[in-house]
Amino acid sequence: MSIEGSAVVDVAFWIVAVMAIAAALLVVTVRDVFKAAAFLAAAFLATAGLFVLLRAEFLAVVQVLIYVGAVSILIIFTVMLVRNVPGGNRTGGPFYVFAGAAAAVLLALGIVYAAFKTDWTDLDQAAAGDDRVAAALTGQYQAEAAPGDGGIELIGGPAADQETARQGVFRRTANNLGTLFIRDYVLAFEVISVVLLAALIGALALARERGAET
Amino acid sequence: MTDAFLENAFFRNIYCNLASSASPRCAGGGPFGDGMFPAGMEWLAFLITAFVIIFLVVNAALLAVNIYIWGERRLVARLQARLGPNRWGPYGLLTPIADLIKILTKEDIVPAAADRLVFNLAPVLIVVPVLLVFAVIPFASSTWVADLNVGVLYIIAVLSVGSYSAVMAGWGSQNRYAMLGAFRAVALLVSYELPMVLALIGVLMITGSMSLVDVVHDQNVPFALVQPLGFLIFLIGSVAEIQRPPFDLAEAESELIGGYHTDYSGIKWGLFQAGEFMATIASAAIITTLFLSGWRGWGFLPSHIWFLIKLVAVLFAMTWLRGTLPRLRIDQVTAFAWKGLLPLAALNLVVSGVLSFIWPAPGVAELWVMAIVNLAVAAVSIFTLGLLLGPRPGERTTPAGSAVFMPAKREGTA
Repeated sequence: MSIEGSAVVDVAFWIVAVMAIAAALLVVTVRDVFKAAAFLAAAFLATAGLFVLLRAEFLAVVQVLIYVGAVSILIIFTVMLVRNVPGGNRTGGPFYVFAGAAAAVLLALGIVYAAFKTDWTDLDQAAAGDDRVAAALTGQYQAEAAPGDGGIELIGGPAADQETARQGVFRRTANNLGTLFIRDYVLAFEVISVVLLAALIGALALARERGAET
Repeated sequence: MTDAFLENAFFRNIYCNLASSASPRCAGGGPFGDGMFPAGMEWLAFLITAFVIIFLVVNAALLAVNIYIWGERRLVARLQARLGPNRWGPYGLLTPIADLIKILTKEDIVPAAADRLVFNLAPVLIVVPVLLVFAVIPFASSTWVADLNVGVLYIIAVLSVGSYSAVMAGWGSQNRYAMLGAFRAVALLVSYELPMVLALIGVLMITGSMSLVDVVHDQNVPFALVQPLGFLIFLIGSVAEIQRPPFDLAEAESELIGGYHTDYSGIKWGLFQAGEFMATIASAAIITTLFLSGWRGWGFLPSHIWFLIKLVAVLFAMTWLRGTLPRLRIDQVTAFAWKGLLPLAALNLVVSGVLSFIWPAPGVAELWVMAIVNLAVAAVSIFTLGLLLGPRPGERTTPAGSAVFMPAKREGTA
């Protein structure tokens, strides 16, 4: 038995989940905008913890790198440039309340729908003997590690057992994501790159002072 | 994956003395026969082992910090033609302990205007991320806590969290000087993280893996030679990211009193100091692992000694920088990052990309060819950039930073 199936993971899940929800609630209830931004970072961190428990280490690390290390810190930077922060911000009129509530309800409905629609596969069960799932994982690896492929390591050979297949999927999430990005979804990837570059240049153009030298 | 640290013999012995011999990691039991717990209690053995390892790592880091603080004070004193601490113990070796007692017995002052929660959390937040870095560093041929498949990214991510400490300290103190220090810390972090990550990609393109264990394993030629440009950028970026001199303008005592830790005293101030020096050691360990082939060396010394030698060499270089160079201005620092390091990192990325396209899995000979090409590229590009960015003869640089980063300019100062 490995550690994954044990109570340790359950306890860790509940700690992280409660942290994420509590931090998210505090973001919208705390009046001090600086603390709200800090709690936002805490919520992002807790989400990264959830990713770790799902064994998506790459997503977890990228979540910390981008959302905690870059996005939140820039939000805090902006907040610090604003005066009178502990006084709190003005609340909008009833329109904002209703619009915000509608958006929240729609988002929640979407997430719940997606959660029920998803075909959840318990990977511990797969290792415990669901041959179909294990075969699917192994097969995927054989396909990706086809000869002449260049650079992708052979993880699950023809004789790979279920444990290897299961380990293999999680050992190299970053490599698999990279392969998907530059092979299967290369067009979307490139389009997003161009959009981000355009946004970057646009931000520079907007922020540039008119009439300033260079 | 999560229990992969049990591959280390020492950790495995701890675990197997506790866990039942029926558990798959401990066939045949531990060195003292069967484990203490019955089958099914592996989680408890796992937890205890994890706590033992955390205890060891934290205390080793603290001990290393104390030794390093002594070493750095002595060395900087030598570089500046002083004697340094030499009163307490042989060669002043017990000075850190005396300092610690002094810090612990000092009064803990919280300013009346401070935001207590934020103010008290900041010193904790500087230490935690640095300790997390030590989890993925392979200290010897078989000693590491976690072999993460995203190790390199993990280090960058965890270190970037450290800037929250400066921001929270600056904000929590409700003090202009502390706030200015926090602004500078964030400006530094945002500027230097980008070239650092870009410089690392060159290494990752050669190894094809982000696991630090794999990076050391593939490092048949030290990557400081194969990736000289990346090495320099990463070294400068690390010194800037942990805000050591000459990049210590977030706590520049001549302008900002103490920067973001102006209002701290006692053990909280001590935590800031320990966190900064621990970050220095962590950065040196990262540089050793990524660019100086980690624990690898020749056979006549054990692998952890090799790691230690390289670590001390990097720390020596960093202390040398500290003892030699004057502090830079904030506009110089950010301009250097964006106009100097970022183009160099981009160039390094392109050259490394082409080279690893030619040799997808380089052997030792190809690595040497790469090293020669990259050294030539580094020399030419640094020289060209120096011509483009450097001051013209007789030119006097004036501060161009915004009022946010610069204290009011006094008349009559050179």
